[in-house]
Amino acid sequence: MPYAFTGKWLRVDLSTGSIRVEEVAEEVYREYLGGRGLVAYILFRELKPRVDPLSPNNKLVFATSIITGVPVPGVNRIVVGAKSPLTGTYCESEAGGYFAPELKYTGFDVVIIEGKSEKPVYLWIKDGRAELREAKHLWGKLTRDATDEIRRELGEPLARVACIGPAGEKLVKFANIVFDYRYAAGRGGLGAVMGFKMLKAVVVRATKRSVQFYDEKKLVELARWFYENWRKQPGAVSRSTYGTAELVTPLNKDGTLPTLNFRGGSFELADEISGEALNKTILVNRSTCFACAIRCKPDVKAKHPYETDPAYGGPEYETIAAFGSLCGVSDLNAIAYANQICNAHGVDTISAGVVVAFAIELFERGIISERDTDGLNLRFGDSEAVLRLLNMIVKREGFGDILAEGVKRASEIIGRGAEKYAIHVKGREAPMHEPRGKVGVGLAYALSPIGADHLQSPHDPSFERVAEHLVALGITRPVKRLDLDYNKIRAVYYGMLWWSLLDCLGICKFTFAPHSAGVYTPNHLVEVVNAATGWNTSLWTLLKAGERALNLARAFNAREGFSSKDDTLPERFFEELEFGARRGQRIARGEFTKALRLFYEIAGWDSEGRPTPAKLYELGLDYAVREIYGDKS
Amino acid sequence: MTVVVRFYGALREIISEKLELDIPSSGVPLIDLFSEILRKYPALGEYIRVNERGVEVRGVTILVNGRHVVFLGGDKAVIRSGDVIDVLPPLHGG
Repeated sequence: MPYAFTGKWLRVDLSTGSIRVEEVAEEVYREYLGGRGLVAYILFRELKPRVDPLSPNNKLVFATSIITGVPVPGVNRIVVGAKSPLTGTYCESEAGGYFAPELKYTGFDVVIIEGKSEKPVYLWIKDGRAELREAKHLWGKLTRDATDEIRRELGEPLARVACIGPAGEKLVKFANIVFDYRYAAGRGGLGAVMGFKMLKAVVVRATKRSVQFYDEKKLVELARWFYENWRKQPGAVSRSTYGTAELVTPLNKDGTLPTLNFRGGSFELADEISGEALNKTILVNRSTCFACAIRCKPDVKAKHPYETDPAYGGPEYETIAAFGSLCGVSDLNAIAYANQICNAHGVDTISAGVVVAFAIELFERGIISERDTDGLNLRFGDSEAVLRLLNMIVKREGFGDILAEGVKRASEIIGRGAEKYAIHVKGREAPMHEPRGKVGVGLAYALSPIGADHLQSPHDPSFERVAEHLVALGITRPVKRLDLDYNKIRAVYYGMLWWSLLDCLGICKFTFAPHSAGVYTPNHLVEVVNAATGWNTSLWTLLKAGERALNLARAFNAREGFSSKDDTLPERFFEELEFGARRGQRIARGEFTKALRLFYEIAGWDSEGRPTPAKLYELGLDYAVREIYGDKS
Repeated sequence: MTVVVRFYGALREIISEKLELDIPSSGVPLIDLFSEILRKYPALGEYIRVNERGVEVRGVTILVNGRHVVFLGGDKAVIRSGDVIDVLPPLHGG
């Protein structure tokens, strides 16, 4: 048996109830590593083009990586993928916590879910064995209740549980998968895929570790180095003290805190929703993920009338901004409550916040009225209305049923010019990073194979300060934040390959540079991989795997009919910011289009944004050439 | 005659939260002000440098009274008594 991975994939057909174990060659791991790489490999090869995401023919993949389970901070993320019901694109999403190492330790690197069950079930995996169990009694339950019930009936209080809430069962298009109450994967609606398949949960438990690592002593040494050095990295202590909520104050002052549905970049009540305010008012503890010292996750207990359960965690930056500044809400208790509704019902907090802000703007502009909203009077800053609307969305009640389709589809249903206020890329709601102040982020939003996403490439300020980490990637010249020239495009491209690699390996971007708290360098990563596997790999080979995964995801989208017309930004980002420190700033459309074209050429993509046959051959993806271009290419 | 310079996030790990600096009544160019700050706090040189090209920011953002210096003349901006300057750390994803 190889080191570091089991070479075993579990394939579960919910239509027939069959479960089988497949042995997979080491060569596949060498080329795809895990995570995003394996998800893209499986989805591209096994899904027929144009498959309906909410049909038995879609597949749901849970993937670990070749280094999952090593005792190194940040190497703990589970990657889940399927064709997205929200966007129709390739989709993968990552969650931290403890699920991924536990799954690997049970003896399986990957779980592939196929078909559709006739009745609710859950998948129970323990120490190399797997079975489907009835879940009728769990259907309709909130994520915490379902998780507790599963642990109780199995007599396994230490089991790790990935489950959907009622929103996934009701096929809310941005329903997610919630791990152990609080870690979420599922931007793009993976929870709806699970709900369609009638799969309430995937539960894992390992009483022994079924994989060995090649050089355990070296891995412990690398972990110790992190523990001894992480506090010296600028920003790491702040990240540990405030979590990602540390971003609220500086982004607000910077004019890039998305506010009132992205109309402006500063929120006058930002101090009330800042990391400092959260620590002073509702924080009760900080939690962490497997083997990580940073402890960036907040546990909160909000106060009357929005009491929350700390087990559900607490709002992180994206959630604070999505339900705070974006909706004009300054009540941290209400934001924490919104976070809990999302985790309990199982929906993505970013998409949910954007959908609510979109509806409020439509209401304030008179495009919709109380006749459309079932009597709800929607105003920015009205936390009670925000929570009521959120409850309607997660339950698909009344007007909430339309918004549960996501902002793009909802705007098409509403019509009357609503599309102009729907802030998304490829149907996926924009995260809480204002591209008019970070243009490289805008580029990454447009080019991301999964739709708007803030974790596709390092953000522009990273490139102004050329640190050792960037030099290792070949980025040796500082690039100004608002530049959109060939230097920026090159930096974003290299950054995208690096971050694609991190997603292949299931790694948190807060521990590996370039990031404010990114302690390890790229060369450390090579050491981790070699110590885990016994391979003698290189940074070049690993980056090629990141590039391979990115190109395969793009090829998947090309096969689905996505093209350069979809690689764009919402109209609003080409218009001036209405208020805040960057008032008047916009992205110049001509410059942006030119940048996209140059990016395509640098990446080896054609004028439609498809990886060229030459690029695919270079990456060893000859099967993708045949699929995209036919046999004559 | 004083100005207040405030620092945020990671920058507070190498410099205090707030500095109050005396300046001439006629005001002071931004470049001179940061030369003085860097003389006292050389560790800030990781993020801000002053050289023949002017004030070179490395991931950080400088605001004067809530507006970006780029909108106020950049290096040539003249800082006057009572102005408040905010220096923001590199802003990444969350």
